[in-house]
Amino acid sequence: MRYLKRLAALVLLSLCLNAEAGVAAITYHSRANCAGFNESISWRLGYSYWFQTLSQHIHNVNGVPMGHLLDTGMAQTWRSAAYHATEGYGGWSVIGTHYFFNDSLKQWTSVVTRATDCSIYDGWWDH
Amino acid sequence: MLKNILFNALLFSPLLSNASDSIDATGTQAMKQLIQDQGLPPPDSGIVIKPESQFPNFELIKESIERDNASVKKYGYIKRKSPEVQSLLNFKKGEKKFSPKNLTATADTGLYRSINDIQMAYRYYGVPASAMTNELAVAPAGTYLQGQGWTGAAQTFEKAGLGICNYNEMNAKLNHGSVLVARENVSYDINGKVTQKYAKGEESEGFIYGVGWYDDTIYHELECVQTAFSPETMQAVVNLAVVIDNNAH
Repeated sequence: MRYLKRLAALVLLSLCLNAEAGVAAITYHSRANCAGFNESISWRLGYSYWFQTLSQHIHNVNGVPMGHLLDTGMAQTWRSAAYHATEGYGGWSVIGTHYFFNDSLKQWTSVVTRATDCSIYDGWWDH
Repeated sequence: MLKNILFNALLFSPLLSNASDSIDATGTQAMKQLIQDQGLPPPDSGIVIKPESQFPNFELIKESIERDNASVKKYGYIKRKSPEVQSLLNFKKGEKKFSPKNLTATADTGLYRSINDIQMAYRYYGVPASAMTNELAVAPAGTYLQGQGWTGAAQTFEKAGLGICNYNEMNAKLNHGSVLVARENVSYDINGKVTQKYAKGEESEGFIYGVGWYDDTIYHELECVQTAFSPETMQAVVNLAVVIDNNAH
């Protein structure tokens, strides 16, 4: 499945390559039902920051919300991914809670993201 | 280390503990409990001020915070290299590839020529034209809300006397955001709002001057770079932040 993801990324990369994608600011995203995975991502290309990303993957089973929570823990990285494979084949919703610690200002900020589809935001998936 | 909570043999567990619980815009009760247990600021909790020692994951950042505090006491700034310094000082070098105007298509996180080229989910306030010498680029920030647009954006611009600056504005309401700031680093310099500021860098590479200020709706951050350190530059950046904030009403 990982190879399929990379192949899809390469195809899409050829269609919408943007050399400046994600270089100017931190952005946060969730994606659901990506034919084999769900995820929440925090990223900025070329910069290492303290991130912690939590992702809720929810699937209704007979009207009962089932699923799991992912927690990356706090880590210094350019790309914090709460990613889970072997799911996301339809009917899932993803809610991400993204934390960023600004070690210059000494400040934490949070952003919530939601998704029920696998929209492509060019940039993070091709790195 | 990625942790998978509520993992069981079937991978999935009920996410609500009883029928009266619900999944709202920010998620499940289980997630809210996890956030609370870790001391992280909950979504939609606004501006929270705490001592640094009560920050989440404090054991991971304690050494860095103590080193920075000692550095500020000795030099007046955080003596530490910052990739943002070179990035902004060299922003005008090399050709930039700008994304085309994109008001309806799937989000693109690249650089744009103008805020008017980005689909925004709210009326972006930004830096007034009268407060900059030359706008260089704009980029989306925050997250993209389907059918609405971006919840934030960053403007890179030149300001005579201050050099290259970057202003980042995020809509806290649309982000269901929160901000947790260190009590030790709080002032009210920007129109009486909770404000934080810093200078960081090294003499060999230059300095970045940053100001963050917050209200119920917008979280703002302004950064400018200079080759030398001076308290007067810090004050000039604060003065520019006041002008930007006056425009956000």
